[in-house]
Amino acid sequence: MTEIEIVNVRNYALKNVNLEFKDKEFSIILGPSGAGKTTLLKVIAGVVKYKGHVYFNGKCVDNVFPGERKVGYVPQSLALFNHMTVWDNVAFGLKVRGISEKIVHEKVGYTLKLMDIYHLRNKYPLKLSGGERQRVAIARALAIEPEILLLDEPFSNLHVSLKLELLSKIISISKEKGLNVIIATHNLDYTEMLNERTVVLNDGKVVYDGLFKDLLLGKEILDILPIVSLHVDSIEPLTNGLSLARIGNLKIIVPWERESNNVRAIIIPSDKIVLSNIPQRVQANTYPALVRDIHMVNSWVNLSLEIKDMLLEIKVPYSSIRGFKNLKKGAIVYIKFPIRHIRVI
Amino acid sequence: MFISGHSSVKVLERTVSYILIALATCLWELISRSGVVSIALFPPPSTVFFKLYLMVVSGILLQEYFTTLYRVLVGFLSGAILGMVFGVLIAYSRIASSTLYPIIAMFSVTPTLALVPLLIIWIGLNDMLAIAAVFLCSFIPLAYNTISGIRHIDPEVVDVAKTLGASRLELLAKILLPQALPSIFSALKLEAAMAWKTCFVAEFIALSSGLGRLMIEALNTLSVDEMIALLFILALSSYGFVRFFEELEKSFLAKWGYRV
Repeated sequence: MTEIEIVNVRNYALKNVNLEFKDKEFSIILGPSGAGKTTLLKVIAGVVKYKGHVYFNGKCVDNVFPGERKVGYVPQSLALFNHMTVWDNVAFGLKVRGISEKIVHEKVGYTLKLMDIYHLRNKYPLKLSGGERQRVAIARALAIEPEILLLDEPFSNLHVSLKLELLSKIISISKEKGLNVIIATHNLDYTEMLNERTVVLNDGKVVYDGLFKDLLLGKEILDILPIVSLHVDSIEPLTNGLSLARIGNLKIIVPWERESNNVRAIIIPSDKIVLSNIPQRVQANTYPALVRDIHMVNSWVNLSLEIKDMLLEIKVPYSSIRGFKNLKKGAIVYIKFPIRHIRVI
Repeated sequence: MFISGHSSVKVLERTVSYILIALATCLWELISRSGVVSIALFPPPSTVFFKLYLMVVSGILLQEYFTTLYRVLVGFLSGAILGMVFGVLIAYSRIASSTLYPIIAMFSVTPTLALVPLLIIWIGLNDMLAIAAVFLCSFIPLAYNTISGIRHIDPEVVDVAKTLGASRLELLAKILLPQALPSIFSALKLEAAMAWKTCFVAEFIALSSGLGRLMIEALNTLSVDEMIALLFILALSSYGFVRFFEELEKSFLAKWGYRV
């Protein structure tokens, strides 16, 4: 189908990006907010200006109109056409291409059934749930039979089970149709599960390009991503798929059932760490911590916490501490590492 | 418990508002007839409605009403349509935006009625004067709201439409204009009532026909009952015009799932 080559691409958000996406490849673009992930997808789709070159199958597409690039694009906002029914949303791309009514009918019906939303065909987007809207946006992108599918934070605000269901749907469709799929996200939930080719962008530059599992071994990458990584001294199995990881004086229950000497660290997405000024109802993995230092950087808060004689540096979203009335140096907070969000690497 | 939107609650709300109007009318009748104020200066509603009846029966009211209605419709519709066209042009074309937008922005803060003396000189004392005043009062806000409606559309909607293959014209006709409708309807509703007021005042100041002319005649003869009857007709017409656009808005936006 399509091999994508990005050569020395630069604009307001990207700085000399060079990348290659092989035919039928499933890739993840990872990086913090403002790293240039969305802009990279838009460069491929041809909807932003850039310097440098983009090639599809060796052919330069810099001057090719977005509608002729055979790219299906699903932005983070979904950008559904709220004044059109689900059917008309999905049919739009086919109709503007001048395809006959009969074929449009067949293709739209097929795509809606493929995404399990045929029963919603006469509804308007604003009357749908988040998951249904997500499916409509993907169906709209698939209806034009693209060779490249670009998904920008496709599962944000969706429940985990729905997220995984949609993801497996996309994987099966992409395999069946031989699509080149590129997903931009800052969400690690499914990125780890997929363990596909992962490109990490930071400040408009590619800082990592490889498999996800290898990515987690690099300390500098972990600093870029919104992850807290804790070095594990030892790990001993407990029961029901749980183990006890010793990290200095901390004992953290982790989802891990093998006895292994290869465990190096546990990681947890920063936004999943729970901070509270009152003790948590569920005590597992909860520790009182003394705030040694605190300062804000944009929408993030860098916290230096002393937990059981250990100093822990974490970067959490501002929303994590919004409920605190007076969080300052010397305050006591309760930090919780929810078991279900911990990954052992 | 407050059950908003329930049909029986809506009926109750409507009944209460009708009762309040009836009570206010009765109170007005009582005060007028009590002798506290002069009945000539503050005629009771029964006198006003009787006057209204006489004006209708004589045929003069209908004749002048249709004159005003014609001016309002022609001025408002041409202003609204041209306003939308200009709005689209300005929102869509960089050259049109840099040249025309400052002019639109400048006129948007100028009261239309302040332009009437100039229009009298330029156009003269004929139908076109009121039509032009109504035109200006709808043209500028419609252009302004169309620009702002289009500019506030999620840029990703445009990006997606482009990747799907929409041409500039398709993008405009099938995506941008329909998506700007909430903003356009706001202006239509607001200016619908304004159109009647502007036409009425233009007629009042300068013309020899229309409801405004009847008002000036009523003033000259100190017929307060006639003046109130005319104001009642003006209010009813403005309200009907606004309601028309509200219903039109509902038929589009409510169907799409917008809150209206």
